[in-house]
Formats: sequence, structure tokens, C-alpha cells
Amino acid sequence: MLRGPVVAVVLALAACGEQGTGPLVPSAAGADTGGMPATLSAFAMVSIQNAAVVPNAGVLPYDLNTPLFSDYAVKYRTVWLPPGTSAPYVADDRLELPVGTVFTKSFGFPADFRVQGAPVKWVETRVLVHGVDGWKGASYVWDDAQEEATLLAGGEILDFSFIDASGTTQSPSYLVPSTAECQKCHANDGTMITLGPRADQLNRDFAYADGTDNELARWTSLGILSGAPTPDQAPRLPVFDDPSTGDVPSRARAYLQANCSYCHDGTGEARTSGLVLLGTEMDPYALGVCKPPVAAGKAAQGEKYDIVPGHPEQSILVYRMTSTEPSIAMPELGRSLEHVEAVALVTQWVAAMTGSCP
Amino acid sequence: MAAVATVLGGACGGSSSACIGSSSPLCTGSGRCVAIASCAKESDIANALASDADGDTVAFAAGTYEFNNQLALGTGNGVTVIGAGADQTTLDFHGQQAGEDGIFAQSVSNLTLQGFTIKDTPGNGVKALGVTGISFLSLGVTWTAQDSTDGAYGLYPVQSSQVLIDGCTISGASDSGVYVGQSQQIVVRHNEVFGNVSGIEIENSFFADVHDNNSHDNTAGILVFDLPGLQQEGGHDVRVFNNTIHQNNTANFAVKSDIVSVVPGGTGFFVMANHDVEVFGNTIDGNKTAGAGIISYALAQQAFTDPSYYEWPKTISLHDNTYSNNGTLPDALSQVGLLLSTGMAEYPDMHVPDVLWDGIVDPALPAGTDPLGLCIHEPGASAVCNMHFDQIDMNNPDAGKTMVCDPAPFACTLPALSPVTWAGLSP
Repeated sequence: MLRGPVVAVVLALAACGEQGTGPLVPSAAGADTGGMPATLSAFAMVSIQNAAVVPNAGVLPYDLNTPLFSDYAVKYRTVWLPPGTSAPYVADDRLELPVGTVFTKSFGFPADFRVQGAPVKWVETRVLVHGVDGWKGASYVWDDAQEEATLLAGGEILDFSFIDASGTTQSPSYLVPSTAECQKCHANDGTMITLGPRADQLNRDFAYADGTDNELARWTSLGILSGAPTPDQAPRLPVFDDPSTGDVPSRARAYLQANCSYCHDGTGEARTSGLVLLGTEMDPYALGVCKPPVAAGKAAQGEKYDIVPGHPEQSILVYRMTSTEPSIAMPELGRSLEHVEAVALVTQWVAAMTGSCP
Repeated sequence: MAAVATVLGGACGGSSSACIGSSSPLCTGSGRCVAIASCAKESDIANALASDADGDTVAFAAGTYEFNNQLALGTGNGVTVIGAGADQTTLDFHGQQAGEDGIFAQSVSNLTLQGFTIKDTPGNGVKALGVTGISFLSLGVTWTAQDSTDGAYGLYPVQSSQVLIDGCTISGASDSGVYVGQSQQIVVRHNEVFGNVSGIEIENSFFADVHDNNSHDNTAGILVFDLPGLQQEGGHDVRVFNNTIHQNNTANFAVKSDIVSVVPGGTGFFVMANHDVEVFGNTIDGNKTAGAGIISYALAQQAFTDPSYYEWPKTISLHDNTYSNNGTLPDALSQVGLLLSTGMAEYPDMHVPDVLWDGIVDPALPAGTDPLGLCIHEPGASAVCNMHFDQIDMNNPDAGKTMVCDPAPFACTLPALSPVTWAGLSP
């Protein structure tokens, strides 16, 4: 069933994943055609120590310029490639990572976002494994003692509270996605894909244990990325909440690219709507300007167009970003709270647009 | 922090459950059987559906199951989700906090949903995207409120093919009870739809048979639409026959700006844009605005910039339908209904003619008595009228003054469209 180099990779990984007397070695557990392992520790990617996610040796943490919003969760991302493998540089699309690659993304909340360095309670770690038959994903929910995370294939909505940066108590209906819900965002026309790891998202500094470095440069020096230009020659996605990285339109478009375009890209789940929110979309109508909604139902809220230039209050796109009603809120999954800062940015962008709709 | 800890402790319960077994009288296929009893935990049920393997049957015993998350199906092909009957098994989504649809499936083949009722989803009852072979059999979809807070669509296959909707009962959808969008090879039959804004809507779709349905007490009975700006356009080869389209007089409760919000209450049937549509053998009665209409997207008065979209109906055949008591009191809350109501005094028998064409013609076509190829043979209709909405003076509208009621221009026949079928479709 397994052929060629894939066999070697998978077998080596299976052997590595066993818990022996030595330190755990990272493993693409679940990369074969079977199911995902029952516990996160089978991957030996990360553990939690003193309320911090700690990567295992050989596992590289990274950040993105403009990440997906997930109810204000703190996120910790890692990547691991099988030894000796690398991904070719791609300038303007997602990176193509080799079979055996494992991404993790851990989601947590401090009790009070106003407290610098407050301990984070980690809720879940999501894993994407590039298996022999494609990418597959699952979420592992951390136990109370933060010692082990257990596969929760069916997903669950968790209710808890935290105090946000402005001192307001927030109570999300936090979604741990089912494996089928993973596909709601990660499946593009039936194929599971990665979303965050793109050159423009990784072209940023990261404070590694041994010093700060550009992520593209670090991935290159570690040999997991090949053919990348120097960072100044690579695209860089603006940081949505850092005005030094771009003007309002470019930061608003960066936010929509990161938070909407995985469905709204013409081939993803929202392809039936005709609304395309890729950062590269140049047609104002496809981007929503004076575009009537197709199957928005009550989410249209009596307004005629996705975006009305100069009128964020009449723009369905802004309304759906603001709402927390399940049938109205966008993105459809993973946001039960309003991302106030992002709504402000997109509102500012729409308010400054010129022109009018019929 | 304490709050988080408490909840997380609860989240890590065992995944095996005595309430999920492996045999059920509802499982008749050769594949694995996942038998769910009403004591099952939501996350275990969700896991059963998310982890479905090819050929699985997921069987819900009689009872009510409450969900606070949508139920998303995994990647299994040939999967059946079955209940003990629409009046026995209820999936209740009134507490749903995540996701727009009750049940969601995408990109699989040969999915069957059968014998249960879906209740009070915040959005659509079932959405199936890009599914090849999807059967909705003997399902119920309903909302308690029956107003604009209800979800948009009851059953919503989109960009799917080999779609069968058979024997379902759907009420309360704030857009359409049955909504088939951008799909191909479609059979919608033996369903009862009522109390929705639109009972059945076939939109931007190819090769559909809609027959033997009972569509009553909606705002509009059956609609065949084509809209601009979508990946599949130019709806065609749609047959609507042997349906009962009765007393669709519910006031329109769609959210304003939704395309169906412009539809007048009291509408029986109409086709907008599309080509090659055949409508016959239906009983259309008691719809107070109008019985049957053939219209252009221009009448919806919505701007569009899609150069590939064709906004006029073409080669439409209406024949041998039965009409009674339609058009007696047009819905004046809608613009079109109001327009129709202006001509009451001039209409034959003082009611809106049973068969209407808006008279709006593609200017690129050569002039003629019937440039769009509309063939209408309706001896049972009170009148067949070109309403000439293209000529009406909107400052002083009187629909009765511009209309020309004469079946002669439409006295042509079109070849009967072929029945829709595919391998494995039961007759």
C-alpha cells in the first residue's frame, strides 16, 4: 500500500514515536492511512511546562503576520518536518510541505489579558499531519493538570470566561472543532490544505530561544525551506493591527485574506456565494462592492449589498463580522465573540471608500 | 482560570458510550452500523458522523436529540443517516451556538438522509455542498417560530448532482423550504411544503423534475429562478408537473433584500430567466396574487454586472395546468403585487389573469410576436396576458391599461423535455 520514499518516512516515524528510556522524538503519528492517535503526546511535538507550550527538540515555533481570530485565544504554533526533508519556496501561495510534516497550534487563555505574563490555561492543541493520503486534522483537549491532551474527534463547545484587555469579562462559546469541522475551513473543493504557512505570513521576526530571526531566514538556515529569497525580496502580509506595516486598506485586506479567504477564494466552501476575499482579488464586485448577497437569508439584515462604499453601517460584510448570532456571524466557525479591533479596521476601510451603489 | 479548568475537566469524558452501539433494526446496508440511542452525548454523536467510513449507517433511535453545535459529516462515501421516522426521531438545534446549518456535508458521494426531523436550526436545516448523489427521504424540517428568525432553507443542496428530495415535509423556512441551487440532475417529488416564504425553489440548476408535490400556504408555491454572479448560471431543462400549488397566501416574511423578499404573497408559480422549462398538469388554485408567471430578472429590479448572465426567460412551455380562484386580491405590500392590483377593474372576470408574462424582451432578439419562444397552451386559464411591464408608466401605473390578453402569440409547441433520471434512481 505504501510506496517509495513515503514508506521510509512513515516507518522511521513509527519507530521514533515509541516511548523508550530516552527523550521523546517527534513523530508524524497518524501519517499512515489509519486514524489519528488518541493522545497528543504520541506526536511528541509539544508539552506544557509552567503554563507555557514548550516545543520538543527539533520542533520549530512560528508566528504569522495576521493570524486567524479565535475568540481572542493566545496561540502557539509549531512546525516539524521529517529529518532531511524540506519545502520549496512559493512566493504567492501556501507552502507545499512534504509528507510527514506536522503542524500544531495550541489555543489558550489567561484569566486576565491585562496582566502581563499571566499564566495561560491551554484549552486545546490542533494538529495537522501531512499523511500519505493527504492532510488530516484533529483537536486534542488538555486535561485539567495540563499534562496530556486527548483526541476529541466529535468536537465540543466550551463555556468559560476571561477578562479581556479592556477589562471586560468575555464569555465565549468556544468551539473545539470536530474532525469534520476541521474540513469546513481546511478543505478546499474536497482536499484538506494548510492555511497559515505562506511566505507572506512567515516573513516576520520571531524571538527564538537563541535570538530573534526572520522566520523565512530561520526556516532556510534549518534546511526546511529551500529556494527562498532574502526576506526583503519576499512578500510580507501587513499586520492588521500595526499601522507601521501598511495603510488601512492593505491591513483590512490582509485581515480578510487571513480570516475569510479560506472559504471565500472561489473554490472553498463559500464558492457558491460569488464573494471572493483573497488579498489578490482586484474586481470590486467579487470583493463585495455593490454585490447583492446570494443565499445570506436573514444575515442580509435588510441591506442590499455586501459592501456599500462609504457606508459600513449598510454593508452586510461589516454586519456579519460584528454579529455573534450563529446563522449570521462570519467566519461561520470559531468566532463567538466580536473581534472589536478588526471590525474597527474594516469599518474604517469601508467608510473611506468612494463611489456609490445603484 | 477556575472556570476554564472546570469545563475542561468535563470535556475529557470517555468517548465510548453505552448509548452508541453497533446494531439497529434501522441498519439495512452491508456496511458498519452505528446505532445511537437518545442518551448519547452530543460529542459522541458528532464523532460518529465526523469519523464516518464508506458505507456506514448512522441510525438514530426514536427520541429527541439536542445539539449546541452543527453536525458535520466526514469524508465517508455511501453513508446513510437514518432515524426511526420523521415523527419519531427529532434532532433539535434550538440551542445551537456554532455553525449555520444543522447538518452539513460536502464533497462526498451517495449520501442518504432519511426518516428524522430537524428542528429550529439557526440557519439552514441541511446544507450539502458539492455532493454527488444525495437523497433526502421522508425528512421533516421545521421551525417553532415560523417567522423571519427562522433559518433560510430547509433542505439546501448546492453545487450537487443526482439530488433526490422525496417524501419530506418542510415548514417555516424564512427563504425556501426546498432550495436546490447550482445543481444538476434533480428530482423533487412527493413533498409537502407549507408556511415557508417559498415552498420549492430551483435556482441556477440544470435538469430538474419537480412533480407530485403539495406546496400550500407559503408566500409562493414553486419558483424556478436564475440569478447573476454565480458559478453555475443559465438554468435550464426544468420540468414542473402534477404538483398541487394551493393557497400560497402567507404574507412574505423574508428579510428585506433577500431576493425572495420581493415575491408577492399569493404567488402560485413563476419562472424567472432560465430556458427550456416545461410546466404542465399542475393544479394551481387559490393563490391571491397570481397563478403562473413568466418573468425577467429585470422585474426584480436588482442591478448586476455579470456579462455572462442572461436575464430573460426563453423557450418556456406552459400547458394543461388547472387554474381556479387565483389573482383575487394581489399582495399590495409588494411592488409587483401593487402594480398588478392597479388593473383589477380591467382584468377579465375582475381578477388577475391566471397566466402572466411581464412582456420584457431581450432587445438583441429580432422583433416578433413571440421573440422569447414562450409557448402557452392553457385552456383552463382565465386568460393569458402580456402585461407589458416594459411599457408601463411608473408615474401613473395601471397594469390593466398596458396588458394584452391574447393566447395567439404563444400558440406554439415545444418538444417535451426528457425525464430526469440517473443510474440507481428509483421510479
